[in-house]
Amino acid sequence: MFKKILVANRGEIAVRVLRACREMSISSATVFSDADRTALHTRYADEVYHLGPAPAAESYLRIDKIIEVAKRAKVEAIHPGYGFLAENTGFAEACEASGIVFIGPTSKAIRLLGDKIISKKTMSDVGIPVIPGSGGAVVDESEAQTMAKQIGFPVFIKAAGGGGGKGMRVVREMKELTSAMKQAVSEAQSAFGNPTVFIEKFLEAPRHIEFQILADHHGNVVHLFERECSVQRRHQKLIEESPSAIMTPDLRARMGQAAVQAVKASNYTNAGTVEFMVDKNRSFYFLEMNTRLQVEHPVTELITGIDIVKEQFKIAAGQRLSIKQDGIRMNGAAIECRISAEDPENNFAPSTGRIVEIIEPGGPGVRIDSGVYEGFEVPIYYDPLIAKLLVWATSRDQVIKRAKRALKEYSIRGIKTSIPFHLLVMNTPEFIKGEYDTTFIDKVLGKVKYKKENHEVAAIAAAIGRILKEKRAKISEAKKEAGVNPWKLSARQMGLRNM
Amino acid sequence: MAYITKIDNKEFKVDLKQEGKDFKVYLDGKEIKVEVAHEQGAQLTLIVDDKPFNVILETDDLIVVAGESYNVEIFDEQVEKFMKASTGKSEKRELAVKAAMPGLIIEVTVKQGDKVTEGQGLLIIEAMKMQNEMQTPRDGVVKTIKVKKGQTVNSGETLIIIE
Repeated sequence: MFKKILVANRGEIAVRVLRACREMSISSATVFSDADRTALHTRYADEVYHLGPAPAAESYLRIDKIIEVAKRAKVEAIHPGYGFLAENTGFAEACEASGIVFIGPTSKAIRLLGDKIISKKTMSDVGIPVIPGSGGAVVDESEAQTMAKQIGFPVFIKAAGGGGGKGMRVVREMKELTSAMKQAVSEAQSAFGNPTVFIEKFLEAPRHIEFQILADHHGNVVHLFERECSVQRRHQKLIEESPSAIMTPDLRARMGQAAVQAVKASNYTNAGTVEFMVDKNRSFYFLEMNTRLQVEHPVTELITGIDIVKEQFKIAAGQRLSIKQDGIRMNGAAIECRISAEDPENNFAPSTGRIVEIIEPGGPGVRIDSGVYEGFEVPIYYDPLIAKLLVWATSRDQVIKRAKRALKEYSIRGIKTSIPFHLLVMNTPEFIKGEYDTTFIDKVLGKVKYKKENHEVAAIAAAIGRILKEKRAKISEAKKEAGVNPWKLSARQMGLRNM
Repeated sequence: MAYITKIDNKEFKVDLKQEGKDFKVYLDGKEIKVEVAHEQGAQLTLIVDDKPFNVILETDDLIVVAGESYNVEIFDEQVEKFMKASTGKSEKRELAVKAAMPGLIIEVTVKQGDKVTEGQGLLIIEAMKMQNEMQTPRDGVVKTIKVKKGQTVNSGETLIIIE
């Protein structure tokens, strides 16, 4: 096993990986930008190295600087977390060239799977169902128009180079195509430095279900069941759960087999996620493969008892998988709520600033993976995800109740967070019954108002607040007029004492 | 003291008298006993009709009660009466839409003089890698636009004034 690992990330995921290092007695190093001098990960690692200014392009995305740090710190391996350089072929190559182990797949596998066009073809060639589409880059508007006509509306414009909801547009009519294409290309360029887009059929009301996989360097591949990720806003996941409410043993077996096949077809190693779309008839289609540790990986950890980060370390160190497919058991149900610094009551507007107070939930079945602390200033430069609330219980019914209970205990002051959104979802009948798909937020929650029942108390509190404020103002005014400065008074008393 | 409070656009008349640490409150004429059980900075615990509520007075126009956020407008009843008598209008007629955070103005989607309805988008700000629409919290007319496309703004900066 490695003696020392560099975690090239920030926030909750850096802390998550650092925790695994500590539990395995591996020395750790991490990196930080100017905005993260006091961040939690910077305070957690054994060694910390400054990268540069706050913008990611000048710090967390600087391959040259990170490799330099890795050499200086004499680490044997680098864990990239998710986002930033996690799926960057150039970074994996730079690690390989420097003789440092990249804890993830090979650069070759990242390149293949990172290109959505090539990866789709690879999967379709081995018989895994894929969504009908352009099959290649769409260069200009006229080609887009021809393609859209061929596939039939609605169509989906997607960036070939990325994910996370950026560079994606749904187009329902021909007249929307030109502007949507422009927006997608410009977003793809600014987010991934690659303006290439492609077009595919847009499935109406699909579910988004993914399979976690582990693959070692000796040809062993296992899957750790599914995660249901259909609660999405603008293609960004907000809540994930396992098992999926629509899963049957037969469908799970078939999808799991397809996931393992996808891994083998792409010579993939380490931990990864195969994403599928599932339509109303429970037909599934390969969507893409995420060649990294996922934000929502703890959901799987809770139901299988397998520590995915530790497995990543072991695989990267060349060890054989110690687990076999038929030895992996699914126990109970788990839900993740992504806690982000956004105001759900104001169209998820970002909310940065100093966290004045945090009260975290506790009790049975609760896990918090957080990257912040009381007094921390949430920077404007990075992703708004600040923490993840994970709950486990014996059944789906119980885990929803537990999530609700934990969310009510959770209080973060000073910034707005997505906690009220999660509470709203946990109280929504469609979610409770498991009858939801990727249109859930727009169709079901779009019309729902945040539940508020304390208007009267708020009215009273506002008036009392006004009176208390005026009283405090009067007291400080009176003090000023009396000319008594408490510091002076104290100094005089001290002076007297010294006489 | 008597106040007119608007909580998320619902109007209440709050008449209150302090009795030691506690308050005798008339909410729209209905008597309610309110005890201030705890007061520390912006945090209060109010016991209203024997039920405890944790209250946070976040800012002058935002109050959190039991985890729920409320937008607040509060006027002194006497002043309000005077304003209405002299100008025929309420004390606070204008609403400043402020930037929720620092960011870059990508687009302003309304013009001066436009009629807007609650929830309508006014402009788009880019921050934390995402583009975000700022909306008007109530109906009105766009009186002033203080920013333009390409400009960076600070948190709390006034963007648009709605009348």
